[in-house]
Amino acid sequence: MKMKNILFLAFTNMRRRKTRTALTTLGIVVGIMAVVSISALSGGFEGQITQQLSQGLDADILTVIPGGGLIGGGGLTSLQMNDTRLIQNITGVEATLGISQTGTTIYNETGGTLDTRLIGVNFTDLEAVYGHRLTFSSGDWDQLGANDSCIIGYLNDPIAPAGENVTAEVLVRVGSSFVYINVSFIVGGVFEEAGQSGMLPFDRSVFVPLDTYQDLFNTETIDSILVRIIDPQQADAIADEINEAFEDQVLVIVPSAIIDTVSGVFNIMEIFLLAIASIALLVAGISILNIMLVTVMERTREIGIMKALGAKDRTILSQFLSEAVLLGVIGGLIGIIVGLLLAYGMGLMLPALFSSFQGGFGNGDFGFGGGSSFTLVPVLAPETILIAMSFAILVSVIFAIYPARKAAKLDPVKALRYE
Amino acid sequence: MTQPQSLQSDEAITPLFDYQSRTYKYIIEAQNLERTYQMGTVSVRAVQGVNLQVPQGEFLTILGVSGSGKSTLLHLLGALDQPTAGKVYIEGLDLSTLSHNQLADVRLRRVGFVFQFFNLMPQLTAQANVELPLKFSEVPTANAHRRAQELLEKVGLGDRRHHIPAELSGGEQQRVAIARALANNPRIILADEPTGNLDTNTGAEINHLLRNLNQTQGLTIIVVGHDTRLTTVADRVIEMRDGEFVAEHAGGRQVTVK
Repeated sequence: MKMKNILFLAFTNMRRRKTRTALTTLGIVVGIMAVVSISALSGGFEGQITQQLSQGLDADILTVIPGGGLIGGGGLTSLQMNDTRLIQNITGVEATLGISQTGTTIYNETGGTLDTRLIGVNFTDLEAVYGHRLTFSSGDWDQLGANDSCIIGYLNDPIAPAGENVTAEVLVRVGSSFVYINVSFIVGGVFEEAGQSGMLPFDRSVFVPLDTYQDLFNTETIDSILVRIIDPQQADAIADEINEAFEDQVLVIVPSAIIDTVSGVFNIMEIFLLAIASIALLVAGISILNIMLVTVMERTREIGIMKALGAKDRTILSQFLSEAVLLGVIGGLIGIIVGLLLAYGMGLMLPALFSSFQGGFGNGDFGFGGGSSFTLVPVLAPETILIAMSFAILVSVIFAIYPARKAAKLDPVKALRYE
Repeated sequence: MTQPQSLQSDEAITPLFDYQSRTYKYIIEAQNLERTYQMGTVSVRAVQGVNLQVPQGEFLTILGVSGSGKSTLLHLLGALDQPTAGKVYIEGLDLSTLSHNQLADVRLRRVGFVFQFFNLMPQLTAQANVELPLKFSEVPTANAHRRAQELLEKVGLGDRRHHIPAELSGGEQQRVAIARALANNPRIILADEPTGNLDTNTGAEINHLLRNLNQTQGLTIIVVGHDTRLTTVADRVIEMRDGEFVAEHAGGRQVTVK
């Protein structure tokens, strides 16, 4: 019997029991819908996160922090400014920036306050590493010569413009106790909005000369060294060389590695979610098995008639299998469409949910791009659609094999007597 | 003997085997046919030691009460069931030598079944029901369509072709079933109580139709049943009891039916 005719018969049989066909299809629809919406959402989410990460993590900046060696032991406990020379000697390194930071409260001349970070840097190094992305709304690099000059990071409403004085209150160790000390600075400049680079936030920060910072805390050490490299492609090689220079006593953070790790976490999460969604498909398959068995029993007499008329076993078999294929195709198509719609709907709803949580994150420095700019556009790769479709058909056919074989093997005489 | 009249569409139906090349004395022959069913621990001998020779073009009626084994015999003759012992030859072909698929082909092209309860596919129209065996034998769609239409016209249902079985009377359904049995142009019709579910007049009409097909087409027809009116149209009548033939006599062929 020709495929065309088999499909036609399958179709008329399915149309005979519309409700049952619809319910059986529903299982496949739900399963495929879950798979499609999960992979579309997670694809969109991953794209969003890695994009935001790569905006914050400049690909040409490596961060060196003390540590390394074995976990829980070994490694340097601190870095010093001298250490930057070891790094500057490496080919491919353009500039380095040693930084130290702590929390502080800033007071301006009129009594306004701001809780923020006090960051110690060499201004020349800061310009060398980040000069290309930092611009001043007031003041300039050449107004920063003095030991007590400072730069205020971007604020919607700057606490003090260039030329005014600010006072920073910091907690320092004196002997065996901690005391608050007030230090005065002259504002040499105020930055335009610059976001953040790795562990260094530019906005809502106050930059002061590193020497002054170190004197204040009576220390020679720095927290980390930011390394600007010429070619981001060389990041891993340069990271290796830095590790070598420090005898593996430091930790070098490569931005692409962070993005890879995040992507990896997302992929594992996606696989996990898909595994759960596949259970829905499995259940759909079992319901197909169940319904097909009932259908075979109901149609026993018809199967007997077809055999008496000269239908071969494989005609009966392909009859039931093609009904399963049709179920799979219809269920798969609807599932993909509904799944995509669901993903787009969730894509619209989820960001609203996130931004309502954002108040809890304090200053709003972190989180998703600082508010409502976060959008989630589901991303569904064409091959995912193909895989979902084949899965829908595969599941339907696999679970229809047993009932279809049962139908094909029916004894025609017994089948004809069946009431 | 009357020269068989063919339908125009007969040419479209290709026989599986070459009829001409095979020689046989009887179109259907059964030798020492036995069929035993195992019902739990009890063996039921539905057919025991039946010998039968049917010449081509004969209208044979096998009479028997229910349980006499007549339906089982018909199934054995039509390759629908396999004997426990003995042999069936159809057009000289030993059924015991055929594979499962070849037996299906015998049912498809060499015999046509007609049943008491019509056994039409409920979801298909009369036309589609007649086309079904033509689709099994992969007759091209246009030919199958024309063939089914001709056959339905032949059985007097030309205007009822697009009705489903539920919209047809019993007699009409049985006519569709007969048209379907003729689809692949077999030389043998096997009918299992074809009038058993019809009123007297309709039953007589069906008998008349079968008799007519036998005479005009040269079809060999075997009808089993318990309706003694069947004897009036038959060439030969065999009585069956407990799986055995118990009597044989000439039918009332001369008697004019309605």
